[in-house]
Amino acid sequence: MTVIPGATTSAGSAHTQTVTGLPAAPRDTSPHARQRRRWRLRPGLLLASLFLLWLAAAVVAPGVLASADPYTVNPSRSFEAPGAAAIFGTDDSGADIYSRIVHGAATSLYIGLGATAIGVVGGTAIGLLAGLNGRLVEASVMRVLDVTLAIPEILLALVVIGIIGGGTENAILAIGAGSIAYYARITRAQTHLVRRSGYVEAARTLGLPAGKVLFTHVIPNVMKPVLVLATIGVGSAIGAGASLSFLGLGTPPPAPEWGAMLSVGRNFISNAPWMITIPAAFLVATVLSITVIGRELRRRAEGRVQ
Amino acid sequence: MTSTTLQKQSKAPAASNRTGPVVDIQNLTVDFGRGVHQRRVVRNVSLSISPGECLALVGESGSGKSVTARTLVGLTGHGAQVTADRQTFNGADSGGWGERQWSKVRGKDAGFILQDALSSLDSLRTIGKEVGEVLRLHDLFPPAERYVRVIELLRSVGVPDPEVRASQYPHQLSGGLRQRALIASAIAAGPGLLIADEPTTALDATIAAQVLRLLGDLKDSSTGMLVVSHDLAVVAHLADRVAVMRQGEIVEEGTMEAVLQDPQHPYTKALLAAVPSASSRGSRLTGDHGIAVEPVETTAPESASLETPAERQVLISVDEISKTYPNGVGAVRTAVAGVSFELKKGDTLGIVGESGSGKSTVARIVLGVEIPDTGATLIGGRPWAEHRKQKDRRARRSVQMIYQDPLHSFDPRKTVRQVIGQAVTAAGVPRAGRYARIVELLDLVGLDEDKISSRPIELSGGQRQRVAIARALAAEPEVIICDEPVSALDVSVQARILDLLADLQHRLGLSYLFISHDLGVIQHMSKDVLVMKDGAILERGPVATVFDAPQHDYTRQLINAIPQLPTTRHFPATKQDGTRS
Amino acid sequence: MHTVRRILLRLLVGVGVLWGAATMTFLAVYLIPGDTALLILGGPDARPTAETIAQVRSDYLLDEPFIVQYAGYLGNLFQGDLGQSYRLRIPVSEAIGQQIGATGMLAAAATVLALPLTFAVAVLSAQRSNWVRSLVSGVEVVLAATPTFIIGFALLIVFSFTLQWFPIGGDNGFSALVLPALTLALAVFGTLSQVFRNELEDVLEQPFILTARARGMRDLPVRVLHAVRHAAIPVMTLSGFVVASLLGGSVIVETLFSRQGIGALTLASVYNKDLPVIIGIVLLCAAVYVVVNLIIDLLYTLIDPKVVTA
Repeated sequence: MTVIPGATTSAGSAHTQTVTGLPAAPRDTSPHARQRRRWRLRPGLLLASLFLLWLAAAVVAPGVLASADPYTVNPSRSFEAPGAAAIFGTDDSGADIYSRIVHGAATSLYIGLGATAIGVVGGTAIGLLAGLNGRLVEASVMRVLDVTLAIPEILLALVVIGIIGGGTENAILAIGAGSIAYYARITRAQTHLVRRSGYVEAARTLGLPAGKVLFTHVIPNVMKPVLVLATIGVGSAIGAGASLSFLGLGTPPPAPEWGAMLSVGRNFISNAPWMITIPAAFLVATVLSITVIGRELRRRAEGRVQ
Repeated sequence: MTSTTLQKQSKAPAASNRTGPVVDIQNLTVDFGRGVHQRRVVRNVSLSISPGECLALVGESGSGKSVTARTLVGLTGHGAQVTADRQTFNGADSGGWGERQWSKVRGKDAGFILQDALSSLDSLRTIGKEVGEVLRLHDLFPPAERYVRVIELLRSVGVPDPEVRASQYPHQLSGGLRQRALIASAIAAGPGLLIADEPTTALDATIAAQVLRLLGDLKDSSTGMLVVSHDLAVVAHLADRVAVMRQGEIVEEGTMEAVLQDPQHPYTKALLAAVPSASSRGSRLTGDHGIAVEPVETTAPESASLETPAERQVLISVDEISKTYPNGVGAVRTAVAGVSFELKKGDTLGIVGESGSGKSTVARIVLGVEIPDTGATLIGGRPWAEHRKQKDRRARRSVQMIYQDPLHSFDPRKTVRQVIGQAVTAAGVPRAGRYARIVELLDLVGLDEDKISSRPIELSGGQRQRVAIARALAAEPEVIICDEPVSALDVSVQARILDLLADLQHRLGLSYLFISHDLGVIQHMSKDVLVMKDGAILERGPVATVFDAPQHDYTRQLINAIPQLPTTRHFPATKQDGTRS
Repeated sequence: MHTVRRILLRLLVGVGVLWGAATMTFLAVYLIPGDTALLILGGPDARPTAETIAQVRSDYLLDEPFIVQYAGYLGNLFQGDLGQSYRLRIPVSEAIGQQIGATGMLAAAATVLALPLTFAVAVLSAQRSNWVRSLVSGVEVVLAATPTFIIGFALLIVFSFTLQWFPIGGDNGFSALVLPALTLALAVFGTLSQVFRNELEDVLEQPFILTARARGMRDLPVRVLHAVRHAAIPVMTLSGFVVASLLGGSVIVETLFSRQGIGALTLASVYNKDLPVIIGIVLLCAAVYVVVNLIIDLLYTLIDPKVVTA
């Protein structure tokens, strides 16, 4: 019995197993096997879910997770390194960083969800308008979108802030407005795909009225991938919100917002690096968790459950 | 067509005058994945190919035939675990070979031809560069002479104007020329083993026949050949021996003659019986009676039998329809040019033609989803335009379609129950009766009730097609347009679907407009046939008349191109008896 | 012939994009409620004198009807006149011209770092054993999810404060350019590499790859000679994303590393509501986008024969 070593280069299950040139290695397609694959959590996914649960708790009941007041100024305790007294240390005014992190979670999610909501609502409205109407409407909408594509989202947000000013709500508006074109484009592309699909044709040949086809087949199948991408978008919006705060254009400093904390911490990076590393770690963990969950949702939506 | 004169004089020295088998494997087993995901794709397969011998590996999808073929040259794939008691190549033990050893052998001593040359040739390189790559990799000729050799090779496989073609890209060549170029690249180094994996599957029948002849011409006393196919008829004239594979195992092996004339294994027998043809017309293709009600002739369809054929109602009348599409550079492409026909109640009208003949456009116009530029389709005596204007849903439902790929015709979010339920609702069945009607329809198409909450993506190809048929039936149509309904299915599944369609026609008095590129399927199913080419009808008439006495050259070509299982009388005389093991 | 026509068409589209961007910024300023002159001068907080307000009103033809204002605006743009920065008291084109070199250098350095890195990582990691792919894709996902300024912080803490290899900021010479350029490069790499590797893995599944290997070609040559060109074609459509990341990222990076450049100018103008400069930068971005797309389009004709011969 000989084993051919060259052929056993890789094996496993986390990724698509494929034979070069073959569509896919045959696999168990029984309902039970699918169920198993669906519910087998990968470690990254588990960590991301646990972190998001913690985050949700921080939003709903910050006082339970952190008893210290995030606004308390206590100069005698400023710049305490992380330790027993303050697990993540204190900042320049002596406030407890852990407590500020916990209380800042709500602002971050507020910015992320708010901006994404504006982007998705505006974008799908424009995308459906373009995708469901005649060629003329579609062409004009798409040309306008082409123009907005030429300008980076963050610059678009800066332009909006340059006109309407900074602050949390304006930052939400600015980030949301900057992402409208993105959602509009994917909505339109998806609308085209669904409108030409075999199942829409099949529904029409069954004699279903156009309105019914639109609401039972077209819109749900357009919205599904858009909403899945929007979950990933929430993560990017949180990052963008923190970036604006870091630039001094989002939530202003005394508030326990992560980007604002980083903006302040920048001045003390050499003597109190935890003022940077701790909020940065939480910011990255949040965006990353949302991205990981969003990508998993996308994988499932595309039928690539492994 | 250029005659295929093959120049063997420059065969590379590697193909020696060895007498042993080119490849020999014993008890080959291939697994993919590990742990709970492990799938055994090939089990205990033994085969050997001698110089001058052609072995056919035949089986349906998932039988492991392609994986076996690839393992012969070490291309099993990622994540595969290969074990064998013995594996030799040109007499050397190749069982432990790694990438380095295999890459010296591949291309030089073993040529590989895949199906679908469009995707098997690098679309960003010229044909000449692709064919010449083999010579460059194995350093076979002095660089200056390689171009001449490439031209020679292209000419030898019947590529006209090889100098021009060598500088063209794959998308600029026709399917047949691409396949020839791919064959040229496989034989460039004069390998002693030639593996062809479904070499004609993606081609139109007339082109496929030419490529098969070319492969036959390539057989010589020093080359061993392995041909992989899902279709026994395709390889029947080419191969000397055949191995029938099923679920990873060889279930039967022997000389082509013996297996065809006297198949031993029930699977081989079923496979041979399942092939539709003129002679299978009117009989079942499967022994399987999994369909709800016993067939067929016993329950005469009332509606169809009450009237004589002459006065049967004309359901669809197509009058001089034409359709053109803009081709992107200002001109137009004519898809359909002046097509007329009638379809009567209870009849099956077949439309046969190769790709691009316009048959699918005709189907979509008859279905009413495509509007012809000129001419009209009359449904029940009135044109589609009128039905549309009056929002006549009954007329809309009277014509339904089933597709080659049913999966794309299902909303991915819906279960079988929802898919059929929607059609049932659209047909006006009151809420209380809907579930019963869904179950009744599933029963009618031979699907178990436990599939009702599955999503179509979880079903097999045959089951999906049954769901599609059930949905079409839910609309209570008079006509079902079948657009290549079995082309994507394995022959045994195809047989069951064709039997189902025949049963349903008898029981429900349905009429079919049956579109296929497969003349066997058309002969089996249809009463009358239209032969289409370039958007127009070349020939029409009862199936027997058209196929027995074709009037048109093109029809004759099509008929001659049908791969035939040799009958006892004209089985080809076997050559090279001495080389058989 | 075909290629020339394509380029002319692209140029026309590019002019259209520029015109559209100019029109949209004009409309944005015009449609915002309140006194447009005051807005251009930085809002009521800027406390402009009556004189400067009158100056702006006549410069921007604010007392004329809409169409005259619009025509005047486009006319000025056509002559390269982007107006006056009321913060810097110099013409906008001059303000941008002073800064464009620094940002151009930063973007070029980031590109030079990012593209080879992406290429090498994708080619070496596509379709490898699971742990390699998990590791590489993990790094990519983390980098893609991390806001640019945090990448910069991480590099600062490691290479400036801990190892003290590079200065913490400033514009002085090559060593000050390394960390800013690396920050931008990593921000681009995360997303670009994910896409490139996915494309590469799809291409490696194609039958022609199997054909090439069946001819006796080794794994690495197959990847480099056959697969990369195919994977590059869809990845090139991401050039817009790359340009946007470099330009948008320059705002962050130039702030974080206290550098001069378009990003710093943008931010200062936003703080001071210096609208003429903001409009000028928007038009600059549109122009860069148009030029980059033109270059990409020419690259397509070099790589993909179907573009030329179809």
